[in-house]
Amino acid sequence: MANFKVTMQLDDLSCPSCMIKIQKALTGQPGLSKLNVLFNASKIKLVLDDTANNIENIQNILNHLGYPVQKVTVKE
Amino acid sequence: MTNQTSKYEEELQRAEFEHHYPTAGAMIGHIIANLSIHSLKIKQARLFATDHAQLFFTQFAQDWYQNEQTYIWQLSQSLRDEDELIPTTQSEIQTYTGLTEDASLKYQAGAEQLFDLIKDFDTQLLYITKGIALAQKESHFGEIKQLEQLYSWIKAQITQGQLFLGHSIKEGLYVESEDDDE
Repeated sequence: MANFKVTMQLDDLSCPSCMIKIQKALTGQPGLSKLNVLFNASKIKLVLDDTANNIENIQNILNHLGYPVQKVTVKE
Repeated sequence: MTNQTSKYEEELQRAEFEHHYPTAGAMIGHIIANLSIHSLKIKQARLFATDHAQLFFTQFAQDWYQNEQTYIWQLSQSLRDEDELIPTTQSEIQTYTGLTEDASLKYQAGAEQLFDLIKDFDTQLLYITKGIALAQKESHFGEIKQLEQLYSWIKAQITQGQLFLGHSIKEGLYVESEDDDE
């Protein structure tokens, strides 16, 4: 198992409801922990267990919600 | 299409646009929805909470409820004065609120119910802060004044509740920190 710290930069979140929608959509997804959606910075921070989930899947969920990811940073 | 129906269709289109490219009016719509749901949750906690939190609710819940209802009226009137859309139906309130209701919460420990209400106050601040910024951009001075007063009142209630629970002021609340960024 490998855990990575992932930061995703989104377009500007214009309303706190966007933040809440993202939190609800990602909460409970397998392999994600320490989920933190930053409203003012328009970023998502999380720890990803890459044996249980992957970045592409998370991006797909966000795309489907209407929040495309502009940049992804991964740190071990 | 009747005049009534076509006017409402126009309103829905306007609401869709204003929530996509948020205006102060759209954000205040969220704030009114949040206050509406929160005041119901306050009533629920006041009626059902047990343990020492009931003492807190007995002293403050009615004041919280009445203040929130007063802000709903005042903000609704300000929206009308600025010729903006005003949420007035249950469906609109449920659509625009950022808070979550759950009837089973009334069986939680009283302290948990109080902390849930405090976290809801904190969530409301996110909308209010954004609403102030948008109202400033649009020079809606009446809205700015009301939102600033609401912000201060909510901050004071958070402090009061957190201290009652033995928490530090920001404990368990939303903090935007980028300490470990990139």
